[in-house]
Amino acid sequence: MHNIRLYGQFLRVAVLGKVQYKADFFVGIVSVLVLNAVNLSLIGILVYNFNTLGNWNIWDLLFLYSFWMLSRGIYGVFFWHLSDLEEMIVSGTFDAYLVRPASPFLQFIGKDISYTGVGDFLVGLLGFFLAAAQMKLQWQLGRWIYFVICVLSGALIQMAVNWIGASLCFWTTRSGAAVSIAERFTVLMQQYPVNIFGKYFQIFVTCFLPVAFINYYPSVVLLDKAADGIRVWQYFAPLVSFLLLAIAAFVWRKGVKRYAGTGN
Amino acid sequence: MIEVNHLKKEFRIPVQKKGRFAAVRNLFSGEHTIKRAVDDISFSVGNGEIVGFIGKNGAGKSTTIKMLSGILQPTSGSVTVNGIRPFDQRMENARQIGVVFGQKTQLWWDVPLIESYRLLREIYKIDRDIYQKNLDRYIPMLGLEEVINKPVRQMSLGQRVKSDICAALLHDPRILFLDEPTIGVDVVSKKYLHDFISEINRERGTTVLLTTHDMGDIEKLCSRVVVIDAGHLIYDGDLKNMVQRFGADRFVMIEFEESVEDFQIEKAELIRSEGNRKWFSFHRSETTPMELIRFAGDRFPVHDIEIIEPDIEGIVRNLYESK
Repeated sequence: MHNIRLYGQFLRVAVLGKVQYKADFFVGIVSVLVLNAVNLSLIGILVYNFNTLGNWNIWDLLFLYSFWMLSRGIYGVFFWHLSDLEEMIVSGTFDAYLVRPASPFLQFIGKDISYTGVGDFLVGLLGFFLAAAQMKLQWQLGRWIYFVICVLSGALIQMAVNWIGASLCFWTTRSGAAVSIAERFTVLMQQYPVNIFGKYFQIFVTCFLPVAFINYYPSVVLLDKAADGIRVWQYFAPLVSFLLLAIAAFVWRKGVKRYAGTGN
Repeated sequence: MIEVNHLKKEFRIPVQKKGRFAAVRNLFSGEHTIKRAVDDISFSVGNGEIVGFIGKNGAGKSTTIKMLSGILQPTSGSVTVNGIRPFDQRMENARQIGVVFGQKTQLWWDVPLIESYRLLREIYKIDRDIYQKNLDRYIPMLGLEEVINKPVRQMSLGQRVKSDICAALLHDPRILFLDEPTIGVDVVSKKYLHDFISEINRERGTTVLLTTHDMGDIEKLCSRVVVIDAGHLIYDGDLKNMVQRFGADRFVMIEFEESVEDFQIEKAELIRSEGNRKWFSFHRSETTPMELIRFAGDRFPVHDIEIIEPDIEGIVRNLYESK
Protein backbone atom coordinates (compact mmCIF):
# COMPACT_ATOMS: atom_id res chain seq x y z
CA MET A 1 0.00 0.00 0.00
CA HIS A 2 2.77 2.36 0.99
CA ASN A 3 4.60 1.49 -2.24
CA ILE A 4 1.61 2.32 -4.44
CA ARG A 5 1.17 5.63 -2.68
CA LEU A 6 4.88 6.29 -3.02
CA TYR A 7 4.82 5.48 -6.75
CA GLY A 8 1.97 7.95 -7.14
CA GLN A 9 4.02 10.62 -5.39
CA PHE A 10 7.04 9.87 -7.57
CA LEU A 11 4.91 10.22 -10.71
CA ARG A 12 3.50 13.52 -9.46
CA VAL A 13 7.01 14.91 -9.14
CA ALA A 14 8.00 13.47 -12.53
CA VAL A 15 5.05 15.22 -14.20
CA LEU A 16 5.87 18.42 -12.35
CA GLY A 17 9.40 18.21 -13.70
CA LYS A 18 8.12 17.74 -17.24
CA VAL A 19 5.74 20.69 -17.33
CA GLN A 20 8.71 22.97 -16.67
CA TYR A 21 9.65 22.45 -20.31
CA LYS A 22 6.47 23.31 -22.23
CA ALA A 23 8.06 23.70 -25.67
CA ASP A 24 9.62 20.25 -25.39
CA PHE A 25 6.24 18.78 -24.68
CA PHE A 26 4.66 19.96 -27.93
CA VAL A 27 7.70 19.30 -30.10
CA GLY A 28 7.86 15.80 -28.60
CA ILE A 29 4.23 14.99 -29.37
CA VAL A 30 4.32 16.48 -32.87
CA SER A 31 7.50 14.64 -33.81
CA VAL A 32 5.98 11.34 -32.74
CA LEU A 33 2.89 12.02 -34.85
CA VAL A 34 5.06 12.79 -37.90
CA LEU A 35 7.20 9.71 -37.35
CA ASN A 36 4.15 7.47 -37.17
CA ALA A 37 2.61 9.04 -40.26
CA VAL A 38 5.77 8.19 -42.20
CA ASN A 39 5.80 4.64 -40.86
CA LEU A 40 2.17 4.06 -41.71
CA SER A 41 2.48 5.44 -45.22
CA LEU A 42 5.43 3.12 -45.88
CA ILE A 43 3.26 0.17 -44.94
CA GLY A 44 0.46 1.67 -47.00
CA ILE A 45 2.72 1.79 -50.09
CA LEU A 46 3.75 -1.82 -49.54
CA VAL A 47 0.18 -3.02 -49.29
CA TYR A 48 -0.96 -0.85 -52.19
CA ASN A 49 1.59 -2.59 -54.40
CA PHE A 50 1.02 -6.11 -53.12
CA ASN A 51 -2.62 -5.64 -52.12
CA THR A 52 -2.21 -7.95 -49.16
CA LEU A 53 0.60 -9.28 -46.97
CA GLY A 54 -0.14 -12.95 -46.47
CA ASN A 55 -3.78 -13.00 -45.52
CA TRP A 56 -3.66 -9.49 -44.02
CA ASN A 57 -5.24 -6.63 -45.95
CA ILE A 58 -4.53 -2.95 -45.36
CA TRP A 59 -7.06 -2.53 -42.51
CA ASP A 60 -5.82 -5.64 -40.77
CA LEU A 61 -2.33 -4.19 -40.92
CA LEU A 62 -3.53 -0.87 -39.56
CA PHE A 63 -5.18 -2.76 -36.71
CA LEU A 64 -1.94 -4.63 -36.01
CA TYR A 65 0.10 -1.46 -36.09
CA SER A 66 -2.36 0.46 -33.90
CA PHE A 67 -2.47 -2.37 -31.42
CA TRP A 68 1.29 -2.11 -31.07
CA MET A 69 1.17 1.69 -30.80
CA LEU A 70 -1.39 1.54 -27.98
CA SER A 71 0.75 -0.82 -25.92
CA ARG A 72 3.96 0.97 -26.85
CA GLY A 73 2.41 4.27 -25.80
CA ILE A 74 1.57 2.94 -22.35
CA TYR A 75 5.00 1.34 -22.05
CA GLY A 76 6.64 4.56 -23.23
CA VAL A 77 4.93 6.88 -20.78
CA PHE A 78 5.89 4.88 -17.72
CA PHE A 79 8.99 2.92 -18.62
CA TRP A 80 10.85 4.70 -21.42
CA HIS A 81 13.64 5.69 -19.04
CA LEU A 82 14.63 2.08 -18.34
CA SER A 83 17.55 2.75 -20.66
CA ASP A 84 18.85 5.45 -18.29
CA LEU A 85 20.07 2.75 -15.94
CA GLU A 86 23.37 2.34 -17.75
CA GLU A 87 24.23 6.01 -17.30
CA MET A 88 23.16 5.92 -13.64
CA ILE A 89 25.42 2.98 -12.89
CA VAL A 90 28.40 4.47 -14.70
CA SER A 91 28.03 7.83 -12.98
CA GLY A 92 27.23 6.29 -9.59
CA THR A 93 23.93 8.15 -9.19
CA PHE A 94 22.28 4.78 -8.62
CA ASP A 95 23.86 4.83 -5.13
CA ALA A 96 21.25 7.33 -3.97
CA TYR A 97 18.53 4.66 -4.28
CA LEU A 98 20.42 2.33 -1.97
CA VAL A 99 20.73 4.73 0.95
CA ARG A 100 16.99 5.37 1.20
CA PRO A 101 14.47 3.09 2.90
CA ALA A 102 12.52 2.24 -0.24
CA SER A 103 12.80 -0.29 -3.04
CA PRO A 104 15.52 0.76 -5.50
CA PHE A 105 13.34 -0.39 -8.39
CA LEU A 106 10.40 1.71 -7.26
CA GLN A 107 12.63 4.76 -6.98
CA PHE A 108 14.18 4.11 -10.39
CA ILE A 109 10.92 3.45 -12.20
CA GLY A 110 9.28 6.45 -10.53
CA LYS A 111 12.03 8.87 -11.44
CA ASP A 112 10.65 9.88 -14.82
CA ILE A 113 7.82 9.71 -17.30
CA SER A 114 7.98 10.31 -21.03
CA TYR A 115 5.31 12.12 -22.97
CA THR A 116 6.41 10.82 -26.37
CA GLY A 117 4.38 7.79 -25.33
CA VAL A 118 1.28 10.00 -25.33
CA GLY A 119 1.82 10.62 -29.05
CA ASP A 120 2.17 6.90 -29.75
CA PHE A 121 -0.97 6.18 -27.79
CA LEU A 122 -3.00 8.82 -29.66
CA VAL A 123 -1.85 7.45 -33.02
CA GLY A 124 -2.78 3.97 -31.82
CA LEU A 125 -6.22 5.08 -30.74
CA LEU A 126 -6.91 6.86 -34.03
CA GLY A 127 -5.68 3.93 -36.10
CA PHE A 128 -7.65 1.44 -34.08
CA PHE A 129 -10.98 3.21 -34.52
CA LEU A 130 -10.31 3.79 -38.21
CA ALA A 131 -9.54 0.10 -38.75
CA ALA A 132 -12.45 -1.01 -36.56
CA ALA A 133 -14.86 1.17 -38.53
CA GLN A 134 -13.58 -0.10 -41.88
CA MET A 135 -13.74 -3.73 -40.77
CA LYS A 136 -17.13 -3.14 -39.15
CA LEU A 137 -15.92 -4.89 -36.00
CA GLN A 138 -18.77 -5.96 -33.74
CA TRP A 139 -17.31 -7.24 -30.50
CA GLN A 140 -19.03 -8.73 -27.52
CA LEU A 141 -17.99 -7.38 -24.11
CA GLY A 142 -15.64 -10.34 -23.62
CA ARG A 143 -13.63 -9.39 -26.71
CA TRP A 144 -13.31 -5.79 -25.55
CA ILE A 145 -12.03 -6.94 -22.19
CA TYR A 146 -9.57 -9.33 -23.84
CA PHE A 147 -8.45 -6.49 -26.11
CA VAL A 148 -7.78 -4.10 -23.21
CA ILE A 149 -5.98 -6.79 -21.21
CA CYS A 150 -3.79 -7.63 -24.20
CA VAL A 151 -2.90 -3.97 -24.82
CA LEU A 152 -1.78 -3.79 -21.19
CA SER A 153 0.07 -7.08 -21.32
CA GLY A 154 1.74 -5.91 -24.53
CA ALA A 155 3.00 -2.88 -22.65
CA LEU A 156 4.26 -5.14 -19.87
CA ILE A 157 6.04 -7.47 -22.31
CA GLN A 158 7.92 -4.52 -23.77
CA MET A 159 8.67 -3.29 -20.30
CA ALA A 160 9.96 -6.69 -19.15
CA VAL A 161 12.19 -7.17 -22.22
CA ASN A 162 13.72 -3.73 -21.75
CA TRP A 163 13.96 -4.25 -18.00
CA ILE A 164 15.99 -7.42 -18.55
CA GLY A 165 18.13 -5.61 -21.10
CA ALA A 166 18.74 -2.68 -18.76
CA SER A 167 19.58 -5.00 -15.86
CA LEU A 168 22.42 -6.48 -17.89
CA CYS A 169 24.24 -3.20 -17.20
CA PHE A 170 24.92 -4.52 -13.72
CA TRP A 171 27.23 -7.11 -15.31
CA THR A 172 28.66 -5.43 -18.38
CA THR A 173 28.23 -1.74 -17.53
CA ARG A 174 27.87 -1.17 -21.27
CA SER A 175 24.84 -3.10 -22.48
CA GLY A 176 23.27 -0.18 -24.30
CA ALA A 177 24.27 -1.49 -27.74
CA ALA A 178 22.61 -4.87 -27.19
CA VAL A 179 19.46 -3.24 -25.88
CA SER A 180 19.18 -0.87 -28.82
CA ILE A 181 19.61 -3.74 -31.31
CA ALA A 182 16.79 -5.64 -29.56
CA GLU A 183 14.70 -2.47 -29.64
CA ARG A 184 15.26 -1.91 -33.37
CA PHE A 185 14.47 -5.52 -34.07
CA THR A 186 11.21 -5.24 -32.16
CA VAL A 187 10.26 -1.99 -33.86
CA LEU A 188 10.88 -3.49 -37.29
CA MET A 189 8.87 -6.66 -36.77
CA GLN A 190 5.89 -5.23 -34.91
CA GLN A 191 4.78 -3.46 -38.05
CA TYR A 192 4.23 -6.67 -40.01
CA PRO A 193 2.38 -9.91 -39.39
CA VAL A 194 4.93 -12.40 -38.08
CA ASN A 195 3.83 -15.24 -40.37
CA ILE A 196 5.24 -13.50 -43.46
CA PHE A 197 8.78 -13.91 -42.10
CA GLY A 198 8.79 -17.72 -42.13
CA LYS A 199 8.65 -20.52 -39.64
CA TYR A 200 11.97 -20.20 -37.82
CA PHE A 201 11.54 -16.53 -37.23
CA GLN A 202 8.08 -17.19 -35.90
CA ILE A 203 9.40 -19.76 -33.44
CA PHE A 204 12.08 -17.34 -32.32
CA VAL A 205 9.71 -14.46 -31.57
CA THR A 206 7.22 -16.82 -29.93
CA CYS A 207 9.46 -18.89 -27.69
CA PHE A 208 12.77 -17.11 -27.21
CA LEU A 209 12.13 -13.41 -27.45
CA PRO A 210 8.34 -13.58 -27.19
CA VAL A 211 7.63 -10.20 -28.70
CA ALA A 212 5.05 -11.76 -31.03
CA PHE A 213 2.73 -11.74 -28.01
CA ILE A 214 2.78 -7.95 -27.90
CA ASN A 215 0.45 -7.45 -30.84
CA TYR A 216 0.63 -10.33 -33.33
CA TYR A 217 -1.08 -13.16 -31.44
CA PRO A 218 -3.72 -10.94 -29.82
CA SER A 219 -4.53 -9.61 -33.30
CA VAL A 220 -4.65 -13.14 -34.74
CA VAL A 221 -7.17 -14.04 -32.07
CA LEU A 222 -9.23 -10.86 -32.28
CA LEU A 223 -9.35 -10.80 -36.10
CA ASP A 224 -9.62 -14.58 -36.57
CA LYS A 225 -6.51 -14.73 -38.70
CA ALA A 226 -5.41 -18.28 -37.92
CA ALA A 227 -5.76 -20.34 -41.09
CA ASP A 228 -6.40 -23.64 -39.31
CA GLY A 229 -8.21 -22.48 -36.19
CA ILE A 230 -6.90 -20.64 -33.14
CA ARG A 231 -4.84 -22.68 -30.70
CA VAL A 232 -5.13 -22.18 -26.97
CA TRP A 233 -1.59 -20.88 -26.49
CA GLN A 234 -2.28 -18.05 -28.88
CA TYR A 235 -4.47 -16.55 -26.15
CA PHE A 236 -1.54 -16.53 -23.74
CA ALA A 237 -0.29 -12.95 -24.09
CA PRO A 238 -1.19 -11.97 -20.47
CA LEU A 239 0.49 -15.11 -19.12
CA VAL A 240 3.60 -14.45 -21.17
CA SER A 241 3.78 -10.93 -19.77
CA PHE A 242 3.66 -12.21 -16.18
CA LEU A 243 6.28 -14.84 -16.88
CA LEU A 244 8.61 -12.27 -18.44
CA LEU A 245 8.07 -9.87 -15.54
CA ALA A 246 9.01 -12.60 -13.09
CA ILE A 247 12.20 -13.31 -15.04
CA ALA A 248 13.01 -9.60 -15.24
CA ALA A 249 12.49 -9.11 -11.51
CA PHE A 250 14.80 -12.05 -10.85
CA VAL A 251 17.54 -10.70 -13.14
CA TRP A 252 17.20 -7.24 -11.57
CA ARG A 253 17.56 -8.65 -8.06
CA LYS A 254 20.68 -10.56 -9.05
CA GLY A 255 22.02 -7.45 -10.70
CA VAL A 256 21.49 -5.20 -7.69
CA LYS A 257 23.22 -7.79 -5.55
CA ARG A 258 26.14 -7.85 -7.94
CA TYR A 259 26.31 -4.05 -7.87
CA ALA A 260 26.84 -4.25 -4.11
CA GLY A 261 29.79 -6.51 -4.78
CA THR A 262 31.51 -4.42 -7.42
CA GLY A 263 30.31 -0.85 -7.17
CA ASN A 264 30.64 1.13 -10.36
CA MET B 1 27.98 4.09 17.32
CA ILE B 2 30.11 2.86 14.41
CA GLU B 3 32.21 -0.27 14.79
CA VAL B 4 34.52 -1.38 12.00
CA ASN B 5 36.55 -4.57 12.49
CA HIS B 6 39.15 -5.94 10.09
CA LEU B 7 37.14 -4.61 7.20
CA LYS B 8 38.23 -5.58 3.69
CA LYS B 9 36.85 -4.84 0.28
CA GLU B 10 38.24 -6.42 -2.87
CA PHE B 11 37.28 -5.61 -6.42
CA ARG B 12 37.83 -7.91 -9.36
CA ILE B 13 39.28 -5.94 -12.22
CA PRO B 14 39.22 -7.67 -15.61
CA VAL B 15 42.64 -7.97 -17.23
CA GLN B 16 42.69 -5.78 -20.32
CA LYS B 17 44.08 -7.66 -23.30
CA LYS B 18 46.10 -5.95 -25.98
CA GLY B 19 46.50 -6.60 -29.67
CA ARG B 20 44.20 -8.07 -32.26
CA PHE B 21 40.50 -8.31 -31.41
CA ALA B 22 41.29 -7.16 -27.86
CA ALA B 23 37.76 -5.94 -27.24
CA VAL B 24 36.20 -9.27 -28.24
CA ARG B 25 38.72 -11.30 -26.27
CA ASN B 26 38.15 -9.13 -23.21
CA LEU B 27 34.47 -9.95 -23.40
CA PHE B 28 35.05 -13.68 -23.13
CA SER B 29 38.09 -13.85 -20.92
CA GLY B 30 37.51 -14.61 -17.28
CA GLU B 31 40.87 -13.27 -16.19
CA HIS B 32 40.84 -10.88 -13.30
CA THR B 33 43.22 -9.19 -10.97
CA ILE B 34 42.14 -8.50 -7.42
CA LYS B 35 42.38 -4.96 -6.20
CA ARG B 36 42.11 -4.51 -2.46
CA ALA B 37 40.53 -1.09 -2.00
CA VAL B 38 40.12 -1.42 1.75
CA ASP B 39 42.59 -3.68 3.51
CA ASP B 40 42.02 -4.68 7.10
CA ILE B 41 40.72 -1.47 8.62
CA SER B 42 39.46 -1.26 12.19
CA PHE B 43 38.18 1.78 14.05
CA SER B 44 35.21 2.87 16.08
CA VAL B 45 33.31 6.12 16.37
CA GLY B 46 31.52 7.07 19.56
CA ASN B 47 28.06 8.58 19.86
CA GLY B 48 28.08 12.28 19.01
CA GLU B 49 31.64 12.40 17.66
CA ILE B 50 32.65 14.25 14.49
CA VAL B 51 35.39 12.30 12.81
CA GLY B 52 37.32 13.40 9.74
CA PHE B 53 38.20 10.64 7.36
CA ILE B 54 41.11 11.62 5.18
CA GLY B 55 43.47 10.23 2.60
CA LYS B 56 44.54 10.70 -1.00
CA ASN B 57 42.23 10.04 -3.93
CA GLY B 58 41.71 6.31 -4.32
CA ALA B 59 42.87 5.60 -0.77
CA GLY B 60 39.61 3.80 0.03
CA LYS B 61 37.63 6.54 1.79
CA SER B 62 34.57 6.40 -0.42
CA THR B 63 34.60 2.60 -0.50
CA THR B 64 34.50 2.57 3.30
CA ILE B 65 31.68 5.12 3.41
CA LYS B 66 29.77 3.01 0.89
CA MET B 67 30.13 -0.05 3.11
CA LEU B 68 28.96 1.95 6.13
CA SER B 69 25.91 3.22 4.28
CA GLY B 70 24.89 -0.20 2.89
CA ILE B 71 25.72 0.41 -0.78
CA LEU B 72 28.59 -2.06 -0.93
CA GLN B 73 28.96 -5.46 0.65
CA PRO B 74 32.21 -6.03 2.59
CA THR B 75 34.44 -8.81 1.27
CA SER B 76 35.33 -9.74 4.84
CA GLY B 77 35.40 -8.25 8.30
CA SER B 78 32.47 -6.63 10.02
CA VAL B 79 30.72 -3.28 10.14
CA THR B 80 27.97 -2.23 12.46
CA VAL B 81 26.28 1.14 12.59
CA ASN B 82 24.35 1.63 15.80
CA GLY B 83 24.16 -2.14 16.11
CA ILE B 84 22.87 -2.64 12.57
CA ARG B 85 24.79 -4.38 9.77
CA PRO B 86 24.36 -1.91 6.93
CA PHE B 87 24.40 -4.26 3.96
CA ASP B 88 22.34 -7.10 5.44
CA GLN B 89 19.81 -4.74 7.01
CA ARG B 90 19.82 -2.07 4.31
CA MET B 91 16.34 -0.70 5.01
CA GLU B 92 16.79 -0.42 8.78
CA ASN B 93 20.16 1.20 8.28
CA ALA B 94 18.80 3.65 5.70
CA ARG B 95 16.27 4.94 8.23
CA GLN B 96 18.93 5.86 10.78
CA ILE B 97 21.57 7.40 8.52
CA GLY B 98 21.81 10.48 6.33
CA VAL B 99 24.21 10.45 3.38
CA VAL B 100 25.50 13.32 1.26
CA PHE B 101 27.82 12.89 -1.70
CA GLY B 102 29.27 16.31 -2.45
CA GLN B 103 29.91 15.41 -6.08
CA LYS B 104 26.38 14.35 -6.98
CA THR B 105 23.01 15.46 -5.78
CA GLN B 106 20.31 13.13 -4.53
CA LEU B 107 17.60 15.71 -5.11
CA TRP B 108 15.10 15.77 -7.96
CA TRP B 109 16.70 17.93 -10.59
CA ASP B 110 13.80 19.60 -12.40
CA VAL B 111 11.35 20.42 -9.61
CA PRO B 112 11.37 23.10 -6.91
CA LEU B 113 13.46 22.06 -3.91
CA ILE B 114 10.44 21.85 -1.61
CA GLU B 115 9.00 19.07 -3.82
CA SER B 116 12.10 16.95 -3.20
CA TYR B 117 11.63 17.45 0.52
CA ARG B 118 7.95 16.47 0.33
CA LEU B 119 8.89 13.32 -1.50
CA LEU B 120 11.54 12.47 1.09
CA ARG B 121 8.91 12.91 3.77
CA GLU B 122 6.88 10.19 2.03
CA ILE B 123 9.87 7.89 1.52
CA TYR B 124 11.03 8.07 5.13
CA LYS B 125 7.44 8.28 6.48
CA ILE B 126 8.41 11.32 8.53
CA ASP B 127 5.79 12.53 10.95
CA ARG B 128 4.22 15.76 9.67
CA ASP B 129 5.05 17.79 12.80
CA ILE B 130 8.66 16.63 12.93
CA TYR B 131 9.06 17.34 9.23
CA GLN B 132 7.69 20.86 9.58
CA LYS B 133 9.73 21.56 12.70
CA ASN B 134 12.94 20.43 11.00
CA LEU B 135 12.23 22.48 7.88
CA ASP B 136 11.50 25.59 9.94
CA ARG B 137 14.76 25.14 11.78
CA TYR B 138 17.14 24.09 8.97
CA ILE B 139 16.05 26.40 6.15
CA PRO B 140 17.01 29.65 7.94
CA MET B 141 20.14 28.06 9.41
CA LEU B 142 21.37 27.19 5.93
CA GLY B 143 20.04 30.33 4.26
CA LEU B 144 17.84 28.33 1.90
CA GLU B 145 14.82 30.68 2.00
CA GLU B 146 15.52 32.06 -1.47
CA VAL B 147 15.97 28.73 -3.20
CA ILE B 148 13.26 26.64 -1.60
CA ASN B 149 11.00 27.19 -4.63
CA LYS B 150 13.76 26.97 -7.19
CA PRO B 151 14.57 23.84 -9.21
CA VAL B 152 17.86 22.25 -8.21
CA ARG B 153 19.27 22.57 -11.74
CA GLN B 154 19.20 26.36 -11.38
CA MET B 155 21.16 26.41 -8.13
CA SER B 156 24.81 27.22 -7.55
CA LEU B 157 26.96 24.40 -6.24
CA GLY B 158 26.99 25.86 -2.73
CA GLN B 159 23.19 26.14 -2.64
CA ARG B 160 22.88 22.63 -3.96
CA VAL B 161 25.13 21.07 -1.34
CA LYS B 162 23.33 22.97 1.43
CA SER B 163 20.01 21.69 0.06
CA ASP B 164 21.40 18.16 0.00
CA ILE B 165 22.54 18.35 3.63
CA CYS B 166 19.16 19.65 4.71
CA ALA B 167 17.54 16.76 2.81
CA ALA B 168 19.77 14.23 4.56
CA LEU B 169 18.68 15.48 8.00
CA LEU B 170 14.89 15.74 7.60
CA HIS B 171 14.30 12.28 9.07
CA ASP B 172 16.45 12.94 12.18
CA PRO B 173 19.21 10.44 11.41
CA ARG B 174 21.50 9.36 14.24
CA ILE B 175 24.51 9.28 11.93
CA LEU B 176 25.47 11.57 9.08
CA PHE B 177 27.94 10.51 6.38
CA LEU B 178 29.39 13.34 4.32
CA ASP B 179 31.55 12.41 1.34
CA GLU B 180 33.54 15.49 0.31
CA PRO B 181 30.74 17.90 1.15
CA THR B 182 32.72 21.09 0.50
CA ILE B 183 34.46 20.21 -2.75
CA GLY B 184 34.24 23.22 -5.06
CA VAL B 185 31.94 25.10 -2.67
CA ASP B 186 32.35 28.88 -2.26
CA VAL B 187 33.69 30.36 0.98
CA VAL B 188 30.36 31.73 2.23
CA SER B 189 28.50 28.46 1.70
CA LYS B 190 31.38 26.59 3.30
CA LYS B 191 30.99 28.68 6.45
CA TYR B 192 27.24 27.97 6.50
CA LEU B 193 28.01 24.26 6.20
CA HIS B 194 30.59 24.29 9.01
CA ASP B 195 28.31 26.20 11.38
CA PHE B 196 25.36 24.04 10.50
CA ILE B 197 27.14 20.73 10.99
CA SER B 198 28.59 21.75 14.37
CA GLU B 199 25.25 23.10 15.51
CA ILE B 200 23.38 19.92 14.56
CA ASN B 201 26.05 17.85 16.24
CA ARG B 202 25.79 19.91 19.42
CA GLU B 203 22.01 20.17 19.47
CA ARG B 204 21.04 16.63 18.45
CA GLY B 205 24.15 14.65 19.23
CA THR B 206 24.27 13.49 15.62
CA THR B 207 27.39 11.44 14.92
CA VAL B 208 29.22 12.71 11.84
CA LEU B 209 31.79 10.99 9.65
CA LEU B 210 33.14 13.14 6.85
CA THR B 211 35.71 12.73 4.14
CA THR B 212 37.46 15.79 2.81
CA HIS B 213 40.56 17.22 1.19
CA ASP B 214 40.04 20.55 2.87
CA MET B 215 42.12 21.24 5.97
CA GLY B 216 39.60 23.96 6.87
CA ASP B 217 36.80 21.40 7.22
CA ILE B 218 38.90 19.29 9.52
CA GLU B 219 40.01 22.21 11.67
CA LYS B 220 36.53 23.67 12.02
CA LEU B 221 34.71 20.44 12.67
CA CYS B 222 36.78 17.48 13.74
CA SER B 223 38.59 16.78 16.96
CA ARG B 224 39.60 13.40 15.69
CA VAL B 225 40.90 12.19 12.35
CA VAL B 226 41.30 8.78 10.75
CA VAL B 227 43.81 8.66 7.92
CA ILE B 228 43.92 5.91 5.36
CA ASP B 229 46.33 5.30 2.56
CA ALA B 230 46.23 2.55 -0.06
CA GLY B 231 43.47 0.82 1.90
CA HIS B 232 45.38 0.80 5.19
CA LEU B 233 44.64 2.80 8.28
CA ILE B 234 47.76 4.79 9.06
CA TYR B 235 46.62 7.19 11.77
CA ASP B 236 43.71 7.39 14.17
CA GLY B 237 43.65 10.05 16.83
CA ASP B 238 43.72 13.66 17.79
CA LEU B 239 43.96 16.31 15.08
CA LYS B 240 46.43 18.47 17.02
CA ASN B 241 48.69 15.57 17.70
CA MET B 242 48.70 14.60 14.04
CA VAL B 243 49.55 18.06 12.81
CA GLN B 244 52.28 18.42 15.41
CA ARG B 245 53.85 15.10 14.64
CA PHE B 246 53.47 14.90 10.93
CA GLY B 247 52.64 18.37 9.69
CA ALA B 248 55.92 19.61 11.07
CA ASP B 249 56.78 21.98 8.27
CA ARG B 250 54.90 25.25 8.17
CA PHE B 251 55.38 28.13 5.81
CA VAL B 252 55.46 31.88 6.00
CA MET B 253 55.38 34.37 3.14
CA ILE B 254 56.92 37.81 3.81
CA GLU B 255 56.44 40.67 1.38
CA PHE B 256 58.95 43.52 1.84
CA GLU B 257 58.43 47.14 0.92
CA GLU B 258 61.42 47.04 -1.38
CA SER B 259 63.41 44.33 -3.08
CA VAL B 260 65.73 42.55 -0.71
CA GLU B 261 68.77 40.59 -1.84
CA ASP B 262 70.34 37.67 -0.05
CA PHE B 263 68.02 37.68 2.91
CA GLN B 264 68.42 34.63 5.14
CA ILE B 265 66.84 33.69 8.45
CA GLU B 266 68.32 31.29 10.91
CA LYS B 267 66.11 28.24 11.68
CA ALA B 268 64.13 28.77 8.46
CA GLU B 269 64.78 27.85 4.88
CA LEU B 270 64.17 30.14 1.94
CA ILE B 271 62.20 28.04 -0.53
CA ARG B 272 60.94 30.56 -3.05
CA SER B 273 61.55 34.16 -4.03
CA GLU B 274 59.46 36.28 -6.34
CA GLY B 275 59.94 40.06 -6.57
CA ASN B 276 59.57 41.46 -3.09
CA ARG B 277 58.01 38.28 -1.75
CA LYS B 278 59.90 35.50 -0.08
CA TRP B 279 58.63 32.16 1.18
CA PHE B 280 60.24 30.33 4.10
CA SER B 281 59.61 26.91 5.51
CA PHE B 282 60.34 26.16 9.12
CA HIS B 283 59.92 23.39 11.62
CA ARG B 284 57.18 23.68 14.19
CA SER B 285 59.44 22.75 17.07
CA GLU B 286 62.25 25.16 16.19
CA THR B 287 60.65 28.55 15.79
CA THR B 288 57.36 30.40 15.51
CA PRO B 289 56.02 32.60 12.74
CA MET B 290 56.11 35.61 15.13
CA GLU B 291 59.81 35.16 15.69
CA LEU B 292 60.49 35.03 11.96
CA ILE B 293 58.42 38.11 11.25
CA ARG B 294 60.06 40.04 14.04
CA PHE B 295 63.48 39.04 12.76
CA ALA B 296 62.63 40.18 9.24
CA GLY B 297 60.88 43.37 10.43
CA ASP B 298 63.91 44.42 12.45
CA ARG B 299 66.05 44.47 9.30
CA PHE B 300 63.74 45.62 6.48
CA PRO B 301 60.32 47.26 6.27
CA VAL B 302 57.69 44.52 5.88
CA HIS B 303 54.60 45.18 3.76
CA ASP B 304 52.57 42.02 4.22
CA ILE B 305 52.77 38.53 5.66
CA GLU B 306 50.94 35.25 5.26
CA ILE B 307 51.22 32.08 7.34
CA ILE B 308 50.55 28.94 5.37
CA GLU B 309 49.65 25.68 7.12
CA PRO B 310 50.64 22.38 5.51
CA ASP B 311 47.83 20.80 3.48
CA ILE B 312 46.36 17.42 4.19
CA GLU B 313 48.15 15.85 1.24
CA GLY B 314 51.46 17.00 2.72
CA ILE B 315 50.65 15.63 6.15
CA VAL B 316 49.48 12.34 4.75
CA ARG B 317 52.68 12.12 2.72
CA ASN B 318 54.72 12.63 5.88
CA LEU B 319 52.61 10.14 7.77
CA TYR B 320 53.11 7.56 5.09
CA GLU B 321 56.81 8.09 4.78
CA SER B 322 57.37 7.92 8.53
CA LYS B 323 55.56 4.60 8.74
